[in-house]
Amino acid sequence: MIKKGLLLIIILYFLILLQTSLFLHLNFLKLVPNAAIILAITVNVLENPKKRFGIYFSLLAGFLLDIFSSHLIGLYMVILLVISLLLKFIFKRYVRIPFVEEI
Amino acid sequence: MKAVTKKSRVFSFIILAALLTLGIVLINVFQKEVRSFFYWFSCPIQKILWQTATRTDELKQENQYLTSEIIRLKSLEDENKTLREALNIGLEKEYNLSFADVISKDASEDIILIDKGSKDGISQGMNVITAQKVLVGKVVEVFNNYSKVMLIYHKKMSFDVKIGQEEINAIAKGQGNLNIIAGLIPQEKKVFKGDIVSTSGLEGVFPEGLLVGKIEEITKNDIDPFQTAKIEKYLNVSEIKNVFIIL
Repeated sequence: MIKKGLLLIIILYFLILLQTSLFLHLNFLKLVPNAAIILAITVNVLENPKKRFGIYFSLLAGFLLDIFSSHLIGLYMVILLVISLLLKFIFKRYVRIPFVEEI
Repeated sequence: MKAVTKKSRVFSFIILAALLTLGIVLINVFQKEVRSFFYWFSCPIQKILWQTATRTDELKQENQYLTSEIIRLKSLEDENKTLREALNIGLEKEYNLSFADVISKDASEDIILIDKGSKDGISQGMNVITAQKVLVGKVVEVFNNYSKVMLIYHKKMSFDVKIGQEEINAIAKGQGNLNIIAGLIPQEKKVFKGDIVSTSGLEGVFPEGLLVGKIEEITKNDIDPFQTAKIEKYLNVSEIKNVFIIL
C-alpha cells in the first residue's frame, strides 16, 4: 500500500514535469492533456470508496499543479479535492463495481 | 448515539476544512519560497525534457530541409546566413542582452520559465526577445535563479504596434492560448493580409521595431469605429530553446 502510494506520487510528479515541458512539443496533440488531473481522477475511481488515499493524492496533485502554475496556490487543490470527495460520495452511495485491485 | 457521531463528524469536517484553509493561506504567504524550492530541484529535469523535445523538432525540420530542392535551398541558405549574421550584429549593437534557456511553459497560462534570475541581474519588467528580434514577452516574476516571462499572447498583455509600411498605429492584445489580435485600427486605414506587425514603442513598454507577427485576417464592421485583425504569430512557443533578455 505504502509502496504503491509512493510510486503513484513519483509518477504524478514526473507527469506534471512532462506536462509542462515535453507534452507541449507533441504536435499531434492539439491541446495539452492535464495528465495530473486524469491520474488523480483515475486513482479515485479505481480505489475502494471507503479508503482515503485518493483524497490525499488529489490534494497533492492539486498542490503540485498549483506550484507549476502562475495563479495563487490552492485553486487546483480545492478543485481536485472537491472532485475526489464527489467521486467518493457517488461510488460509495450509488455505484457497485467489483474492484479488481485495491490501491 | 447516532446524533453524537454525526455531530462529531461535522465538527471534525469543520476542523479539517479550517486547517486546509489555514494551510493554503500560509503556503500563499510564503509562495515565493515554496515555489523557488520546487523549481530548484525540478528545473534541471524540466530543462532536459524541454531541450530533448526541441532537439526532436530540430531534427524533424532538418529532415524536411534535406528533402527539399537542393539548389534552391543552397542559395536560400546563403541568403539566410547573411541575414542572420546581420541581425545578430544589429541586436548586439542595439541592446544590452542577457542569454537564457527556456525551461518550461506554464500548464494553464501563457507564461514560460527561463533559467536566469535576480542573481544574473534580471528584474521585473524586462523585455524578452528571440535572436530573430521577435518579441517574446516581459519578465513578470523573478526568483534567485529563475524568472517567469509573460508571453505577448497572455490575456493581460496589450501594447502599441505599427502595421505595414504605412506604419498604422494599433493596439496588440493577447487573447490567451497563444492567440493575439491587433485592435483599434482606424476604419479609414487600409490593412492588408500579410502586413508585418511590429512594436511602435509609443507607450514605452517595449522598444520600437520588435517583430510581433503578420496580419492573418481582418475583421471590418460598419458599426464599429475601428477594425480588428488577427495576427499570425512569428513566435512558435514549442520551438523556442533560448531567448534574450534586454537589460
